[in-house]
Amino acid sequence: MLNKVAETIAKIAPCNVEDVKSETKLIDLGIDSLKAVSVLFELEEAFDIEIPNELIPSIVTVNDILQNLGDISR
Amino acid sequence: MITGLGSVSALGLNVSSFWDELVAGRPAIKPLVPAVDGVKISVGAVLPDYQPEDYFSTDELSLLDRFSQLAVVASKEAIEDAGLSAGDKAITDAAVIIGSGCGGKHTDEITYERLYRQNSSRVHPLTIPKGMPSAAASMVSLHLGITGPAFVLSSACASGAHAIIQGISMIKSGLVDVALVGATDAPFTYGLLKSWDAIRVVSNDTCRPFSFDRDGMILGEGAGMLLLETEEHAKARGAKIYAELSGCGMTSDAHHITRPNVSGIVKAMGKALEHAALNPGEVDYINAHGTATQANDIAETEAINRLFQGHAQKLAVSSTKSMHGHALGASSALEVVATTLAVHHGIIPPTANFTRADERCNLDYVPNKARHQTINNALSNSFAFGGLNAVVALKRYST
Repeated sequence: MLNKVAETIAKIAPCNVEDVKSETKLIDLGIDSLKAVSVLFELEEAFDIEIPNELIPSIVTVNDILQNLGDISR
Repeated sequence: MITGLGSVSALGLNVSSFWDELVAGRPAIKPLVPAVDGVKISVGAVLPDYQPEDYFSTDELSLLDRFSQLAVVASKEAIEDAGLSAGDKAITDAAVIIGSGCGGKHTDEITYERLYRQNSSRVHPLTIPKGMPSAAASMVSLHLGITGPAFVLSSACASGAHAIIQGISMIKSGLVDVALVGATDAPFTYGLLKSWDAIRVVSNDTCRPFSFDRDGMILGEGAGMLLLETEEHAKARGAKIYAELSGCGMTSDAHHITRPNVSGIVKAMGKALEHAALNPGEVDYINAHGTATQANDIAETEAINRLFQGHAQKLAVSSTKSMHGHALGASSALEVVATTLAVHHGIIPPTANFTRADERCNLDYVPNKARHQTINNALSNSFAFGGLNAVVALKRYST
């Protein structure tokens, strides 16, 4: 799943796929608030899910995305 | 004073090719490639070889609708042409006023296609900031570091002329020393083509303003931008001055949502002359609205005859839409760029595609071939759907 998330993030953020590690903070990948909504949109498209607004404040690192994706998918 | 020009149009992606093509009398009206399924319109004046990636990064493009891209490209050219750059105080403090007839329609239509045709439940989160009509002014401000007043105004096909007049007013009232003004439109979208189809004013041949066999307008796209500043400001920094914006006239018809009104046109041109302190006999050239619809060309001719009386027969009148197409709001700005260069160079661009005279259009339309002639004063006419008229007067500048 990390690979697919990394590819999705790298489509939007000014970074390479290999820069995206589990513990990386999104802000360190150059993802500001505007890019963040684009990343969420791309993740929703890629995984065919709906990410609820209330989850957004808890997403700081790539790992937060992975965990939430796991929860949403379940 | 006009000290910088920028243009992107079917005639080319800069002012130099725009002017060269106008003087050569070469129309940029071509078959739409590929043809658009389900649309009757088959010809248009589309940008030649425009690749957004040549001008913007992928990251920048994620926020730039086509109409904003064209505004930024033309704005950059205008300030460079004026000998200025982003970061100069003159630019940082400038006003940005941009007209647009239709705004960010590419973005809107992609969104609607997802929702209504693909039954998608979600739309791209940048739809609002990318597609909002004011995005063009915001993007010019962002890309050029302009922090003065900035906004977009809309008055259909007169949007550019109204934006230019707003810039003149801001400078004359002392609000700003410099204004970057003009208009942008990118109307080649499925929905807009279908809408123009429906109103039945678009030709499937070419644009033949004032010609006997004219049968409608041809859609175009592009942006025209002008850098305006006071004479003192221009002289203090040793800027070249193309021409003076000497006056303007604006009226609204209160008559009909699409049909032109002769009285409204006469009044707008008359007000421009009065504002520029000109007698009708002092005008040498009119860059006409000249859409090549039956109704516009007859009404505009009648209005010129009524206002200019005997002098109407001595005036040169041409429609450059015959070459760059009708780029809606952007047309009026492109035409002021063309008129500025006409006054500056002493060359009147022709009305292209002219075949034979119509007895109801009895003026000198400078058919097909540019004319070298000193132009002391010129008017640029723009008459929009909804009866919104704007006329800009330009004067040859001599030191």
